[in-house]
Amino acid sequence: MAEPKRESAGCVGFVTVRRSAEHGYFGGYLIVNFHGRPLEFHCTLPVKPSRAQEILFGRTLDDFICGEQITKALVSKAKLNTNLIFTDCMAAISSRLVSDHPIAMLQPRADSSQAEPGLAIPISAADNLAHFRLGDYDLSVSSRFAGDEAIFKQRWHELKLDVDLHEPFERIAEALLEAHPAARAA
Amino acid sequence: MFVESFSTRSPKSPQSNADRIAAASITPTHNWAGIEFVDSLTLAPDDSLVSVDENFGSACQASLANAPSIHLHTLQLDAPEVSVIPIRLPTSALKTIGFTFPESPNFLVPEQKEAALPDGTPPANNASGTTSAGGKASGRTRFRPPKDLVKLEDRLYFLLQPPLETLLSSAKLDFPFKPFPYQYEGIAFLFPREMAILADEMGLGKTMQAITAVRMLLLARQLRNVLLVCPKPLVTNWVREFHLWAPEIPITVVEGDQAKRQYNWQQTSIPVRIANYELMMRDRELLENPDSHFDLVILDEAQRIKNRNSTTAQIVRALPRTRSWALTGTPIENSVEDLVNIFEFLSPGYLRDDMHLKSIGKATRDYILRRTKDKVLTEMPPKMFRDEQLDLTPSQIDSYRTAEDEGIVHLSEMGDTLTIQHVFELVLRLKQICNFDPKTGASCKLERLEADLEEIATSGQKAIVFSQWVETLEKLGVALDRFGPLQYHGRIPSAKRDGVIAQFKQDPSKHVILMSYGAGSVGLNLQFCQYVFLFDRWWNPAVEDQAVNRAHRIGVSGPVTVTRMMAAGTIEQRIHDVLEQKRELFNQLFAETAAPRTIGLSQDEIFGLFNLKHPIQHKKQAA
Repeated sequence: MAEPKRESAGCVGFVTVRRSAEHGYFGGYLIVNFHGRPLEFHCTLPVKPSRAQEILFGRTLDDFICGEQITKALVSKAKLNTNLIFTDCMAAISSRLVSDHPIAMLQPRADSSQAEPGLAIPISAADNLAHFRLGDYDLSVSSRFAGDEAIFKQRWHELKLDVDLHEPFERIAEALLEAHPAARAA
Repeated sequence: MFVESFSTRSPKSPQSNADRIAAASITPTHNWAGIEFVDSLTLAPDDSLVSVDENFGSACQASLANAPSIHLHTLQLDAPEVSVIPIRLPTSALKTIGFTFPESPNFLVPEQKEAALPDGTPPANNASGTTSAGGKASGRTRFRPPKDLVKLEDRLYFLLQPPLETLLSSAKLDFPFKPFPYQYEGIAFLFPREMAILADEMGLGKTMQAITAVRMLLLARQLRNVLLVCPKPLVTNWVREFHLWAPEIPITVVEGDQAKRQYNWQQTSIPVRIANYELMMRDRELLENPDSHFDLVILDEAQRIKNRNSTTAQIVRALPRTRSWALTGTPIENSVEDLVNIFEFLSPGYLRDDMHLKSIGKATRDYILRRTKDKVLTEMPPKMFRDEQLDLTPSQIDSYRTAEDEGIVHLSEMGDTLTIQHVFELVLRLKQICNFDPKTGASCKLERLEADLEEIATSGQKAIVFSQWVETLEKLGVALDRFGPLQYHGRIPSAKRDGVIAQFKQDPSKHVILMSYGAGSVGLNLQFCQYVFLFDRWWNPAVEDQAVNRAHRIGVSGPVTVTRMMAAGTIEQRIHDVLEQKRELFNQLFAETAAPRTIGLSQDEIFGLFNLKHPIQHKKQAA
């Protein structure tokens, strides 16, 4: 039976998934306080889809692995209840189909570079996204959950975060490489 | 339905059965796989099929006259069987690893009282021009866990911290000046390390970086009890810098009589204590108290412990502590042994004297951070060197030749009793003659210096003149009287030295300060001077660099001109060549290139200054 999650005022979650051609998918979930300081971190061991999954899920494989499998598992492992969950991996949004946690994809900055050498950010086959703007950030949520946008806007104004939303993903990526040195070599 | 059998015959007809069936009325209905099926077959009334056993007469012959009987059967054709192969998709839960980190304090600086500096200067953090790190942080200086940190959780703790600028911003820490990016890197380097050497070139702000790292560790409650040890003349400088960069941190200076010092050492409410090296020797017994433990010991000018067997080195090595940091602009003054001995303080036995230079470079890479101005302060005004090779005056030449000839003859006659000390004595005597002729007081260097100072004073600028001899500085003081010279050396009491610096800075009639390398080469900020003269040369280029960097440091308003004076064709010229080789050694170690051609100044090289041979080695070779 899952432990009840602790409440912590003003904490936010950042989840991402990276894919290595050699090792498979790596997921990381970082929960920070409103100053951006780390409170909790979870990561998966490398996830390699089976040949059957590749055939059966086809172009929706990334959505299944990143969202329904990795993101769901990471969020459920966290001890803290987060107010908002952001991701830089569009495929992670499909976790919303199997989870009650609203999740928003942060659109990359124009000047941002894509992932780390040897690692890629998985893509998504989903086309049912609703786009909106929050402060300086462009976000997308699953359009099947029409209320998510309003939830994000409301909590965003309540939290008054003092963090750059793009920055924590760099930390997670580095932490993933630290936890899985093989991925770095790849 | 199909014709199953025919069991009748007619004796009247000679026709074969096949002919009879062909002549019968057949109602064809189905054709499947080339086989024709019929629903019914009707023979002509007068016809009958001949029994197949026509040629075998039997008792049943009579029954053959009966009408044929046709039996129809219905057969069910089965549909092909379909096999189903199930494919199982894995549904097991993903394996994850997780860490929780303590809810860190928010680094908020406590409310503080207005504290005045010892000299009455108001605290700088509230002065106009202060820079708050508050607001949107722009830089991205990341913490990197030291390589000796093994546990993944500990490594992730540092990796997952926000950038240093974000931390400082959220803490709303005030700075008197906005730190340079490389200074942020220095703070991020010190913060996670239990042992570290910050070896930045002089003038890059090692003091500020160390103070800010201490400030953050104190606010994060990772430190409670810090001891900073520095040379005595620098104590007031450190006090001032602490007030400037971390005004909220209470500090105490260990000083006074024994009772007061004992009180200072035993005080636990003040987180930072500042002591000087000389005092550490006197308070050795007090420091041996097993209850005294420091969370962090910082050695400023750590080259002071380069001699492993010195009492100072032994005392600081014995201090019970958790973290050990060393600050020095010259981790190597003479040879790599200097660095090995500093590491004896950080981690005894980590380095050995017999290690190859490349191995030392590799082993120390994670513990040493060294930056030079030309690398990090690309916009800083340049430092220009001018080597002035001056011809001795006629009277100096006479004195020099006489002294050198007699000296060499004397040394040669000493035979096996000759020591390196004797050679040094001759070197010093010749160098003094290069400064001033002992008989007439004539000096080619003074003539040149006066000419240069005329120009400097006319333009309202100020200059520093360095010499290794106080006697030389005093002679210069008399000769340069019209430029308002100030003296700063070992004969000036420590209590008066700050006043000398303040007067030099503020009094427009004081155009030159005369400093000894020993007293003036460390810890002073004289960036308002744009001219430095090395009246004579020190043995060690690192000490010369320190001296020059009193003027060429952050805040310097224009290019700094360094004039290195040397008498042409003399011992000074030869020493200069050796110094250049030593500078090469330093550069090679920190550039991680191939091993140097030579390390330091060997005894043979010192003897070689006068074409002499080391007596003991010479003897061995002869044998």
